[in-house]
Amino acid sequence: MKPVAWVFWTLAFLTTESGAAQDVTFGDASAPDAVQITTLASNTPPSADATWQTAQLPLLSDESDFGTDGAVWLRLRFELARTPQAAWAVYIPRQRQNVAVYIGNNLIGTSGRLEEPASETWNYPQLFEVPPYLLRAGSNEVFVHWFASTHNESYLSQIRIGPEALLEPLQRERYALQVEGPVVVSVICGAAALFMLALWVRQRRDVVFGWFGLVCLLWVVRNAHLWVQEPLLTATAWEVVSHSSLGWLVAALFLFAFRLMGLRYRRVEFALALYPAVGTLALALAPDGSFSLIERWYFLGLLPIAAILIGYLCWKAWKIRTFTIVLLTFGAIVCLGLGTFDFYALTVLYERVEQVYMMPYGALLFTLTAGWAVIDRMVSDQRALQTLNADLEARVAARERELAQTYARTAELNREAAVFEERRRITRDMHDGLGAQLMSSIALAERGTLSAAEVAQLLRECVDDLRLAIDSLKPLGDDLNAMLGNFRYRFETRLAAAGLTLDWAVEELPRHPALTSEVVLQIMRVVQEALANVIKHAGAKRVRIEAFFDAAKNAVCLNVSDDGRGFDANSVRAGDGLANMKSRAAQIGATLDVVCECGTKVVFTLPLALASGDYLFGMHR
Amino acid sequence: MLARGLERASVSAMPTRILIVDDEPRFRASFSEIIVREPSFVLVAACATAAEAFALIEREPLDVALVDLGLPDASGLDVIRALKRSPAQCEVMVISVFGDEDLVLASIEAGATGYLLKDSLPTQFVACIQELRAGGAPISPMIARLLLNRVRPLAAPVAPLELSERELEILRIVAKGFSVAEIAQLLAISANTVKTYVKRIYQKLAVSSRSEAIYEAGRMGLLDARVSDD
Repeated sequence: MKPVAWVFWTLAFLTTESGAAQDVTFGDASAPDAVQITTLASNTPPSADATWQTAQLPLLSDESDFGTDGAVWLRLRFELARTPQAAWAVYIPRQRQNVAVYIGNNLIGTSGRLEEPASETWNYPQLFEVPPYLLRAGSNEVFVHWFASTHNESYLSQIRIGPEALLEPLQRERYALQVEGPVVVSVICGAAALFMLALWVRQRRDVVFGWFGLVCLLWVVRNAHLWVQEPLLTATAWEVVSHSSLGWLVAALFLFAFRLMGLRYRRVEFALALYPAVGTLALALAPDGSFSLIERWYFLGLLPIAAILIGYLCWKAWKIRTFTIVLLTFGAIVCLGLGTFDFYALTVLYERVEQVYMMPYGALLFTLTAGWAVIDRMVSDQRALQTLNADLEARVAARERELAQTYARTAELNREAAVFEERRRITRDMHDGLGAQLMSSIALAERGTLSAAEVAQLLRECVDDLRLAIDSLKPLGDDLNAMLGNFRYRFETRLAAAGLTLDWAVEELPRHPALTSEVVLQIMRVVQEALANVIKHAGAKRVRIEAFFDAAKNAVCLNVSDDGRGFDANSVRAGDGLANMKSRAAQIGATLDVVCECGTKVVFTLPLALASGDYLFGMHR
Repeated sequence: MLARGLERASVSAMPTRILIVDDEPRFRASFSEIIVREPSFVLVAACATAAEAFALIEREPLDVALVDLGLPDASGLDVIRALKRSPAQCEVMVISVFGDEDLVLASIEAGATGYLLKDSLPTQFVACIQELRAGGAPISPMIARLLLNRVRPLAAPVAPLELSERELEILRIVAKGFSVAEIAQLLAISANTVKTYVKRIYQKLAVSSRSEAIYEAGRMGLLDARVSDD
């Protein structure tokens, strides 16, 4: 493509109220909007006899139009009717790469550092103040030393000369739009990126946060070329990063939208990532002079990609039609519009070099709409969680009530069962114990052969048994030691009356689940019967009651021994008593033996095999 | 000391004045007979109702009262309290069929210092009263265990019973089923001393239950009301 150069010399914005319009005439009479340019390599404004050519602003060119030093001199002439009172200014909306401005031979300012690495000031509108003393009535000359970009297209916008009071607001307005706006947007995007990425780091499962953060970060990178004057990278690398980032941005944006809407298209996503990857490579490897061409094709390719995907998202959004999705789609459409406009301005518009790029403001729109979408999602997630929690709590509470009812019912049933069991036991006890004893006593009394004392003795035995039964119903009824102690306490006077000395050798016995009050009662009955036998039949002087826990056998052992005349197993009554005691022992799984040594010894052994361990020695209730 | 010695001497010299409160005529009769037969005892009266007993308490000096808990017109516990409040300061024994521990404990808290089983032999009966007069009190292993539980109560509303080490020791041994004589031998003290300890434990229980009642009354504002009445 043959480089084109225009010269466009604009009469600056000299408004009528300035009153200065009549005092100034610009340029040559024949071509009032023309500038003179020369490619002469010189560090000072060239003299009038240099080869000046007429050109028209804005100027767009590549390096071939520049001098050997990569710069061009421009000369602008204007006539003043009289010397101005206030300062004038030279205003240049855009220049790439840099300019140095002279009035006559006096340098009044540069846009930035001229030598490599040159400052990236292309987007900074320049206003150079011209002190009145440099101007004179009649012809004045402004020289602009225009330095080309070494790595990208170069251009120079229209140049305006006029009173500073008039040009300064224009420069300020443009500065706000071109620089300050993007800086503010970058700060907002950067903050959003930090916040979202931090959120994502803490909550990796919510990839939407991550994508949102990445998009914001890429917006920052993309917009940085609008306001960063001193990039840390080399000029070429900086250009590659700045321009390729737009492709990455588009890819990340759509990935974010897909994730937000719960969509997943692996191939499309791969292709989306592939495009900027190829583009980045192409930009990085661009041959000299072709960078801007590649850049434009790269940007151009993004437009249909974005358009197709946005169309698809619109269709999806139409199906979902929530406020958030519609808002997001609207934001995407606006961004696409802005991008298209920028591209149009960059490539087609005549005044393109002066056009303010709108895409940076798309970032703001995106951050707001997508931020709203993400917040909406967080809030709805939160609400869903709260609902879920409330629901869960309600269910737990209901379950707790059910459980409490079940427990209450179970407890009631257990209590009823316990009461029933106790009643059954008492009944059986009455029947087997007292009942049987009373029946046999009646039978004996009815024979009429018993003396009053003997009848009293029979009845006393009945009362003894009743006492044992009552004792066993008490809270300490399963405490064998207490039961033995109480039994002794009651029985001792009887023993004393029978002339017997009691040898008490009862050790502390374990509390054991197998030792229920029922079992203890049976043990006590055996002991009582054994003692009664001693009183009645043994003719003994001493009786010994031993009780101990045999750890080796894991059994409770009880011995009742006397020094009487020994046991006559053949005696009918003694045999009955023995059988009775043996059957009682057998009922509770114990063994009972009678040993005749120097007297009689009843050996009772109750194995505690029902449950092992957990003996509560010496524990009181 | 001297006064107490004199009192002892006078006690042995003078007959013991006894009151029986029991609604069952047969028991009343048999108890009366036992008391009348014993030369050192004097039967002051045998009442069938609490009302009779209350009237008598006002008039007659008494040494020992035998009280059945199941009276027709009031609880025997009320009679015990009335007896303990009376100027006579007599000893109270509860007459019970089975020596039910809860009732015995309640009686001790009301101020009784002993209990008699209704089927006791006449000799036991007399011995028990004499022992009581001598300053002793009977105790069964079950009661000992229940008292030990009161020392460290599991349930909050009961104030712990504060006993000396010696008293605790005796309770523990009694709870194991040892007799008074055996305990005396074990601790190298006299049997009477053991019985005196038991009586002192009973008195402490009565005091602790009384102070508990006062505390309870104070908590409910009853005491203040009474003070202001005074």
